[in-house]
Amino acid sequence: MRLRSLVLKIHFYGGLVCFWYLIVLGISSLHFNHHFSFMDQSGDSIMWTHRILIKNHSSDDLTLSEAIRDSLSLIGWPLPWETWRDSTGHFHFALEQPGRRYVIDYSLTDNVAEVQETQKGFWRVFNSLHGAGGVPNAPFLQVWSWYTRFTVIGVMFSVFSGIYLWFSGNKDKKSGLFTLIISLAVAILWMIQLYLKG
Amino acid sequence: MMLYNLIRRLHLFATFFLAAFILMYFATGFVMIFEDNFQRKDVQVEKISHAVSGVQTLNNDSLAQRLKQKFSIRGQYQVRQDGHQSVVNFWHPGTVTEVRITHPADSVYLTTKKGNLYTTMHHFHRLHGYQGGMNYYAWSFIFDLSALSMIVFALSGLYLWYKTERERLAGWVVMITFTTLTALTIIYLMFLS
Repeated sequence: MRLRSLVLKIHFYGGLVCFWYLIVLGISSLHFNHHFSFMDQSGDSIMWTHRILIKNHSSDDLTLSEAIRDSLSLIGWPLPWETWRDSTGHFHFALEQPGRRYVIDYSLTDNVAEVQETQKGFWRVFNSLHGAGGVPNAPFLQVWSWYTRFTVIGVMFSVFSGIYLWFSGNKDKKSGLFTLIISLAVAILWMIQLYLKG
Repeated sequence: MMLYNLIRRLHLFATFFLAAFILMYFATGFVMIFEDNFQRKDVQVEKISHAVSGVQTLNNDSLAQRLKQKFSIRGQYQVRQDGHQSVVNFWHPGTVTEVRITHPADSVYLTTKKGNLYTTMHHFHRLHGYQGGMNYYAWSFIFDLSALSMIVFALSGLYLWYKTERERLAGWVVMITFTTLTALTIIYLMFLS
């Protein structure tokens, strides 16, 4: 009985820790499947310019993009498929992060970056929490990254501990066991069917 | 007490019905989060050149079906235009096929990439959208149910904790801590980053 109450405590408090990530997962997954238009709306765009000092203009586009990003104190990933150099000595690239999108024109001759910054809005930020973490130059987001890691392990534990709690504290074990075995068998067979024939 | 029992049963039977899918999503999510330890690789890449007549006049769905039959391709698909080429991308767990059709010659160039186990797990995790045939419709329906169950687990779990525990201080501390973390992360991404 002591084991049961210990497992119940961990199940409860682990569940409370996971609460917000489960809400984020549920809502963002529904959005991935249905693409709700109100969640896809972007916020306002602003333009700004900044003179920066980069000692060596790398011939490698990704290295140069990252150097410009770091000099502008921005966070995010440069997008290689939206990167190019033009004949007038300008270097263009896009930079994405969960909260904003930047389109940057950098003059290689006078070291001025012209930046178009677009806010993504609340819902796009909210949905990005599904997989956020590990954004370059954003150490604070490591906390969320670790939280998601804990949650993944916590939810797997919760499934097993929830099943254990049901079987250890319920007299009618047959209906639960029957439901569990049938649903597991159907789900696993279906995944195999989708893999082989889908 | 009736509401408590109802919510408890909802919490439990949602787990029993969806346990395999919840475990699949979290196990594959585990592989994605700890990606350094589970490297995705293509174990087989196949390229084929072919000529298929009469595809120019087909609409997107008919074109995809024709290619599926002709080359035994499976999965969900998306059609797009890239200059003078029509590009059809097919996704099936573990396999990605890109078909490039050059008009007006209707020459077809296929690239098929078969991934390793971790790639397949990634694909299962990301599989969604009501298109690609009955198997995929049904999968998307379960995807929706799994997503809804996340919200149900969270809310019903909070209710069950509140009703079961007499000493709630520690629980409130946990809730406030992680509510603050979530709010701070959103505020950071919206205003401070």
